[in-house]
Amino acid sequence: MKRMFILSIIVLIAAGFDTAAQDFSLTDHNGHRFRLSKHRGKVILLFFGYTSCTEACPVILGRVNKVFEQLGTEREKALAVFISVDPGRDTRQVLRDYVKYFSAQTVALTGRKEEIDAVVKQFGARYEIEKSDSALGYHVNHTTDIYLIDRRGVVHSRFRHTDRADLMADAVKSLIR
Amino acid sequence: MKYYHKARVIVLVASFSLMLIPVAALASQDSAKYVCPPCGCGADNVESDKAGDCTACGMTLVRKGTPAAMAASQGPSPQRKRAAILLFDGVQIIDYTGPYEVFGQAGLEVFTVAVSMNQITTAMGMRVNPHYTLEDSPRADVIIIPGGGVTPTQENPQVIKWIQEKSKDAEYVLSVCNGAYILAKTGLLDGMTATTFYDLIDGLPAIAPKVKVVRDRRYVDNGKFITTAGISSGIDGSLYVVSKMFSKARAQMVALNMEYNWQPDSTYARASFADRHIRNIFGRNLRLNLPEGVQSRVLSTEGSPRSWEVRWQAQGATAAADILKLLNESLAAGTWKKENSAKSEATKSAWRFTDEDQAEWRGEASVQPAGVANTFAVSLKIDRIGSPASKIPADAADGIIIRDAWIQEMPPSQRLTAAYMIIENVSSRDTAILSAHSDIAGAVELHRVEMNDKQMMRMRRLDRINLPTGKTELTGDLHLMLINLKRPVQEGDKVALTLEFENSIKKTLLVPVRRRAAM
Repeated sequence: MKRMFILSIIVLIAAGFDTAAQDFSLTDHNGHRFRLSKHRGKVILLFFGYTSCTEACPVILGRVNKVFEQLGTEREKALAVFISVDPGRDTRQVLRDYVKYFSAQTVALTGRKEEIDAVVKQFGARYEIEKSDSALGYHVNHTTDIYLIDRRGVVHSRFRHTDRADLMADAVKSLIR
Repeated sequence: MKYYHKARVIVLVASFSLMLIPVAALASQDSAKYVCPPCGCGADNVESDKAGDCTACGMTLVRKGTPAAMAASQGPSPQRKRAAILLFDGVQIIDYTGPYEVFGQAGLEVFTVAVSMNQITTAMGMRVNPHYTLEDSPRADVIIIPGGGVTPTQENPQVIKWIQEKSKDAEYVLSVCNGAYILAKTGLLDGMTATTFYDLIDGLPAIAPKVKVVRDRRYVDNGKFITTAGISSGIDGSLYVVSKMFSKARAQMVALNMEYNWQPDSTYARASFADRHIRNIFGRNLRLNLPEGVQSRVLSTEGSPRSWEVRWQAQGATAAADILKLLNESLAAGTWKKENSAKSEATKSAWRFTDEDQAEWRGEASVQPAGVANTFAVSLKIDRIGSPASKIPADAADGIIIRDAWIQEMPPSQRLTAAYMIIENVSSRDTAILSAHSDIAGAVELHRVEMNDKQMMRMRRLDRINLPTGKTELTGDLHLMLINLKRPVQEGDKVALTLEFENSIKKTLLVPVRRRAAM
């Protein structure tokens, strides 16, 4: 009850922000074209990252799993989308293995650098490639927010990667109903 | 757009206010009625004469008048987490009240469960009434198994089954003190690491042969199953669970509100103290065997894991040499060996013994006239002189202890992974990790991940990781990165990893590979 009340306050606050439905098209980890607008009617958790990341990205994917666990029978009404900002290393095979291992609920997307950059910009996310003396050659610095997209395709709010799964699950549930 | 974490503060404050709601009076036993926990299924107000499942929604019926059933009139609280505490005759009071206080203050709905609704008589004779029986207890997010007089309970198949069943739905299962004996009997701890009350720790392996028993931790975290040491350790274990379930901030706020001096990083581990070598001889009350008519009392008993001293005062018509003679007999009865030193006097004796880790100890017993007629100062002091021969990585001879090391399992096509550990610098000077290597990786690098000033997560390679005196956690932001793996690493593998420190200190450890637990 209390949560619902708080959520409704947030809904009111959030209503003043982005109201335009988002859309974009990229390639998923199975090689199929993924268009966001084809998934209208689902509540979507969307985030950017790269698979050579051993910290934030596995943590986010683990949380996404928990969110889906908590959704129970309503899991079909939600979708998680991981957009790679490292097309150089994140081949389709790598992405397929990565989501299969960390979160089978998640669709991993990639594309040409210009396509990815356009989506990053569209969501107000940011990333940059930093050359390094590490054996990795370069690092990808990136924002780690998780965007919550409602059934109409409108960005409703965003979470930090440190936010707990139950908080996200509550928000997803409130948008499903 | 709006960040949700602001809302979380409100939820936190709101859930704190919940603890002000008084727990309602319990229903009388003789006319017990059962109802569905309020869930909106349509049968919430239907009463039944016996326990069982709700015919409408299948939830386990709860006793009418209990907190879970009362929630109907206060509005449903499906989000509120629940903690179930097992009670039994002879339960240690603080073992269950400590966690009750912590979880209650953290905003959980706390209830007690026993074999029957009969009044429980705790250790030391406190009387309490449980909220539920094993049959009608509702689902809980946390299950707490306290200690005390546990033997009948650990042998009760009904209780063992209840723990096994309820653990399936629980997020955490916490044993306090020798509650670990009960939990071990369920088999759920098999293959895990556990601890228990200092004075019963040596008995746990017999109950739980598949459990690794450790004496150097106040609580041991296996993910879902957490065992704490004795008595007040349950408070620390509960605060730890609160910090895992919610946040460290919530645990801090609970500890502050309890005016409890919480030291989450404390290395205090009662069972590791050296006095066990003295208690093995003189018992928990440190009672001396004395000449007829001589009385004694303990003046002090203090020390550390590496040394201990007990001081007694003895009074009676006797001679120092007679007290020492009996003291020597007591010491010689065990595994201690008397040293034949030329310096030995009539009032002192020197000893040597070897502990369970094959470490060498020195002991000195002393009986001195105290300057007052028929009064003697008796003391027994022990010091560890050697390192345990068999334990290379765990020992701190070079001032560095590495523990809780693990390597993250990654998908097979990933050619990299991370290694985590806690390093304690127990020397008096600062040191640093300068490099690391492993045969399975092309490179092992020291890495830090941090939010940069552009609000982006940034990973970078470090030339060194400083290790000031005390504890340094390489458990996330700081970690070792294994790059260009020569083969994928899988859970169950053990990977040899060598760290190089300042002053040419090198340590090689065998690090287990594990899956990352979701948070």
